[in-house]
Amino acid sequence: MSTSRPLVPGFLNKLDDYLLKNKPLVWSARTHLVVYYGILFIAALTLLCYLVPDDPRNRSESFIWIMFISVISIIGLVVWLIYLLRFNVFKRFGRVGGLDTLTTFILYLVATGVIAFFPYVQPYVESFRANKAYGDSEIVNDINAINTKICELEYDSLRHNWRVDTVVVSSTQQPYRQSSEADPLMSEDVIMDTAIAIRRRRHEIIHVDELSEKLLSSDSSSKISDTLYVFYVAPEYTFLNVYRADRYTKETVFSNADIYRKTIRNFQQPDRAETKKQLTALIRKYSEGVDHSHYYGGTSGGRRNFEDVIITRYEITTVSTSMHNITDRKYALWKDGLPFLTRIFLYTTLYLTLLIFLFRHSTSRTFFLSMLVAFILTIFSSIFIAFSGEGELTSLTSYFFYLILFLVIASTVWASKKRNIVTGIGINLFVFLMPVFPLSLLFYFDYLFLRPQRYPSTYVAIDQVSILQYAFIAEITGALLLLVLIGTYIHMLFRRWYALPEE
Amino acid sequence: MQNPLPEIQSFIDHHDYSLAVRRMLDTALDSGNASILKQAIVWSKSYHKSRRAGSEAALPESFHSEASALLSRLGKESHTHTYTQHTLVNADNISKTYSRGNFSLKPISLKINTGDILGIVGQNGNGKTTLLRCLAGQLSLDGGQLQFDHLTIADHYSIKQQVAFIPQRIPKWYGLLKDNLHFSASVTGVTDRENDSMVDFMLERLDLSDYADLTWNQISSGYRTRFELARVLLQKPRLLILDEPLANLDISAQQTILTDLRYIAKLAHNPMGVILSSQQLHEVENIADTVLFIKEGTCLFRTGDEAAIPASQVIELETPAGREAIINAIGEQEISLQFNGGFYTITSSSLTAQEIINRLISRNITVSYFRDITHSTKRFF
Repeated sequence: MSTSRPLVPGFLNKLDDYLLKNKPLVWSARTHLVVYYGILFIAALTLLCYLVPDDPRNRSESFIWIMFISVISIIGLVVWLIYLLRFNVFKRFGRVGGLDTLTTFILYLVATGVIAFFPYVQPYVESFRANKAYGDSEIVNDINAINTKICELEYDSLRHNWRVDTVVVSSTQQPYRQSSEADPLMSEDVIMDTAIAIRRRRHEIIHVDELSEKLLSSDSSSKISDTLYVFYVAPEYTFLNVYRADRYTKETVFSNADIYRKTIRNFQQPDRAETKKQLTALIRKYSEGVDHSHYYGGTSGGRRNFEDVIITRYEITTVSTSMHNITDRKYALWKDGLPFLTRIFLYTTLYLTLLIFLFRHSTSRTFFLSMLVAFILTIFSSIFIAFSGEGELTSLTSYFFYLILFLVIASTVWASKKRNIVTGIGINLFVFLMPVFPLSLLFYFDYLFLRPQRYPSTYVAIDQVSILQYAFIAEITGALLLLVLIGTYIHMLFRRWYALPEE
Repeated sequence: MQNPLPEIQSFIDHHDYSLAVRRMLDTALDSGNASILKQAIVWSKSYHKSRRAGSEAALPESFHSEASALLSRLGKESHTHTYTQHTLVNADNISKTYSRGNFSLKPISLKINTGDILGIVGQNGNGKTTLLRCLAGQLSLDGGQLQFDHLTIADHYSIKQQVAFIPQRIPKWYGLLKDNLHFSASVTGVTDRENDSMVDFMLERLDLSDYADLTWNQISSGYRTRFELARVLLQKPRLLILDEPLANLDISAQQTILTDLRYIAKLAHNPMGVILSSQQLHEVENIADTVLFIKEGTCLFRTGDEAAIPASQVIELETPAGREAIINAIGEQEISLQFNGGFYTITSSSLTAQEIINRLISRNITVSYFRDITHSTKRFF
């Protein structure tokens, strides 16, 4: 075989030649070339992203990169399709069994996956660079050090009064409310062991189920009787707060109560010059040379309180923004957003693959008419759902209705003696709807049977065990079911339909 | 089939090298010996190389010695060059009416056996392509039955795996022509070295080796037809259906293709039935076992159906002589004469073709073209 493909090594040419003469299904999918060129491109892109000057303290530019690389992905997909559509074993009536059809689908899935992965490279490199530049504990320790040192330096100016909340625990089902009645323990300010607490003039009524959570989250508490509790809230000592900074670390960001216990309770005057020097160094670490276009946190504006003065004095807004940017890069996509990102990647890949698979097993006319029918049905169904008032139930019911309808239409192929375009559309849309069948079934079951137990008309604590855990299993089941059907029934449907004589 | 080796030797002796090479390749393939086939391909390549160099008249001695060696090896093979003839397709009163338009193909019955060639002739728009597409399983039937007797599981996919259809307008190929050929062979299970051998064989057999590394846009329409034929043959069909395959070919290529079809259909390696439609009546009649004449969707005549032939003799004649001279030479009472601007058509119920031409020659009438079309479908045009 003579080829002039650029950057293709000898072994790949040999592999290509071998596949052409021995595995035409694999060869015609061109997955080996897509994977090779895809790896080359990903490597080059990784290098480029790594070499581009980038300060993790600045706001992430991933969005621009993702948009740009997505365009390249689309171009890559089109180029692959041009080569893919040249040869088709199925339409040449070659030897294609159910397993071959399944193999073909998986090859398309791999090739599409490689191309769809391109936009994820830059965010990954960006995250890698941020993780390399700033350790997980480093951010937490710096936040704690900054907050502690500010408290040490500003001890005399800080308000150290605790807040006291009186809470009445009720076993009757009623929503949280604040009583308009006077606090049953209303008296003068409470003198605690080491601090003064200011009592509020109203008390709260909570349900008994909420008590344990409130006890866990409170800074301090005391039980007066079985139905009467007092909760203490520490004063504000944390001027620097960074979202999810300690989500993936052993160390935790100090709370107000932590700082109180570690620094304030047994306060000793620090060496102010040394402490200020250390604090300045920490602040400079996150503020020097940065140019933020968007800030996280800041002063309240208008009439400035003492916290605002401290925030301004110690450049907390700039430091906070830098730290937010760093933690965003470190965690936002690759830890917090991983399930979401993975789903976007997998569903994009799956549905692009399904479109390609359908096009390869259908006539052009039938394929595009299928897309048109899907588009029109989506519009009509959306209007119907909008007017039904029961959006979720109507959506799920519509889904099952269409799935069964298209399955019935597709199955008429066994009785047909002509290649009917309606049957072809039925097969295409049945295959397209198939992957989310278990997921839809789960949501339908959840809507009808489980949700009323979790969300009764009267208040109970919400069960935190989410249906999403089952959704993951349903998604895997959907994928497996699709693969099994592609290797069996869907293969037979296409084989029968495509070979039928035309009108 | 008779032993082809004496025939090949005769072709070589009489300098019909092209035919000798093609028949040698066929015989080598039928031998089932990969080594002989490879040797034959090399020998064919050397011949084509010499021909391209313009030295066909004086081929190198090695060509003849190689030929002798090949013939000797083939002679030692114990194969019989035969195949079992059986019915491939049995069409019983098949008919087709398009839902749009007013054309309909009236009930037609026919049968094709392994090794048979069936020609279908008729004017444009009379149903030849419709009949071929029905036989290929591409169009649904409105009546009658189509049976593929050789298929144990006759689902439509299996039928289309074994019935190859070459349309008049061949869809474009993409990529290198040779890649397409390798691909076609491998989709039907011809893999690895056999794939290489078969592609090389087909390229040499149809004299396409020089064009194998080109693309579709780089070859003429005649070569496109030949490449399509090569591609289809590599898929080893049991029934080959060609719609107007001669339309894009020059006269020499037409004859070559028809001769090739004649031989290839009867190859023991993959014997098959061939159905082709064409306007080239004489050429098709020369190689076809049966010819169907179709007019307005109806089969008016098929060769061998003597009952359908009128008793009169029909002659096609081209001469510079005028109508009066011809009538005077033959006799006005014994013939009817028609002139279509190019040829005279002479119909006689009392004279034979031999007697007609004798009378013309005896009167010194110059005859530039003479053909007895009494048994030809041409008489129906």
